[in-house]
Amino acid sequence: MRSTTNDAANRVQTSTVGRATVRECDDNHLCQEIKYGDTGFSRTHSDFEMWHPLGVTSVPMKQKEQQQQGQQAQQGQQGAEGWNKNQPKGEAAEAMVLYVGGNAAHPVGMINDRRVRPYDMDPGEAAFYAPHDKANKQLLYHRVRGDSNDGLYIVTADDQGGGQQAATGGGGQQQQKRFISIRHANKQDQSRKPQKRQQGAQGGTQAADGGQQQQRHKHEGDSVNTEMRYTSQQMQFYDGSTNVGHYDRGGKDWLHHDGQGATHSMRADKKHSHIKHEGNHIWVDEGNCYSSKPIIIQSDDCS
Amino acid sequence: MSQWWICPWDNQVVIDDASVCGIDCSAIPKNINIIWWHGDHGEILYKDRLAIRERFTDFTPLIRYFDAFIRGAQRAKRPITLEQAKFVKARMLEALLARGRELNLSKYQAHRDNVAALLTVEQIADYDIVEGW
Repeated sequence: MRSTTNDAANRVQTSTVGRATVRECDDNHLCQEIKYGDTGFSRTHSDFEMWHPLGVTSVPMKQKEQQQQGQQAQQGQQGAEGWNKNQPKGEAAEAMVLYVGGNAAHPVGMINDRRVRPYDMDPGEAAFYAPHDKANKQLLYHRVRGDSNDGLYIVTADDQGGGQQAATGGGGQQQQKRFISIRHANKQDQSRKPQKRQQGAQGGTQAADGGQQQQRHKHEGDSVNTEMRYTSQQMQFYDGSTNVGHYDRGGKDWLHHDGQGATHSMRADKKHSHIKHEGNHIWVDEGNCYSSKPIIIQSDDCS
Repeated sequence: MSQWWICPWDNQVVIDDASVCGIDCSAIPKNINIIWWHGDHGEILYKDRLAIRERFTDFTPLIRYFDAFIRGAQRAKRPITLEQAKFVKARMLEALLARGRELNLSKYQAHRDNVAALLTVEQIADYDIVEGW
């Protein structure tokens, strides 16, 4: 078997562990795949497994496109002897590439993304974040600093004006509003047979093989039983898809009802507080106590 | 103090702290909010004017509603008893006296005795206390 010096050196380099930048991942597999990973020794691997810690999954953002570096470079192909002199240089998630059994044909990636990782935490702290350019806007954070603010934080935030653009480089991104949902939902089991979708079908109903339609799995649940939502302005309560109450921070307004508006409701805001049931109302304001009809004294059998 | 009242917009009649709903009050003008009866006079609270109650003394127009109360109270979770129904009807008779019917005390006593002799709540509800004055 003939071997050049470069080939031998390359084999040594690639026989154990390597580093790669990740152009893009494909999550529509039982084990996520890195579509293209460019190693530090100018080799580009394609469609190889990326392992996640059990119980955690994430999809890294695509590699940022650089100016003067078009699609052609993004798809740079390997030349002779597996070398790819035209790897994209844009900011990217990084993978530790493990060559199972020392075989460069069987890489496995484990990923990190310094573009988005929330940092500057204290020893003992932890976070789970969405690895996009607004990673700090969707965060599960275990704060451990030994003071009265320690605890488990579920955090989201709306985009503010003047923020950084997406890591993928898209300009003119609109300011995204977000909410936190704590819900009990109805969910179908996710099929263990991923269905290939047409490229770009983010909404995902069109199967790659043509006619058959399949909705993407709704990780958030197909429908809601009960839910609390936190938006920038309100804490909201849901029964199914029906809003049955809120606290509005603008009006300092608590409202609980049966989903039919104020007909059956309790409300407390800055101006008054009330209990309503059909035409029977009791309410108080700064001046008086009111009742829409005389009060009846009775033992309360309500449990 | 005894409190009898009618809430016409909610088809509700109340005696003391017992309430019966579903009584047809459609004959009562829509601008009336609440009607009270205090034993010897009544008060009306209107919706369309300053909330000062207006006094009246004729109990007669209210009789049908309190008769309906007795009937409806038979279907309550804790139904009206025969003695309670007689008590209510006796108070209704006294209410009629308040408007000068004391001139015929003998008729009042005859009605009172008749009511006392009735055997069912339904009979009490149906008994016409206006007849013969």
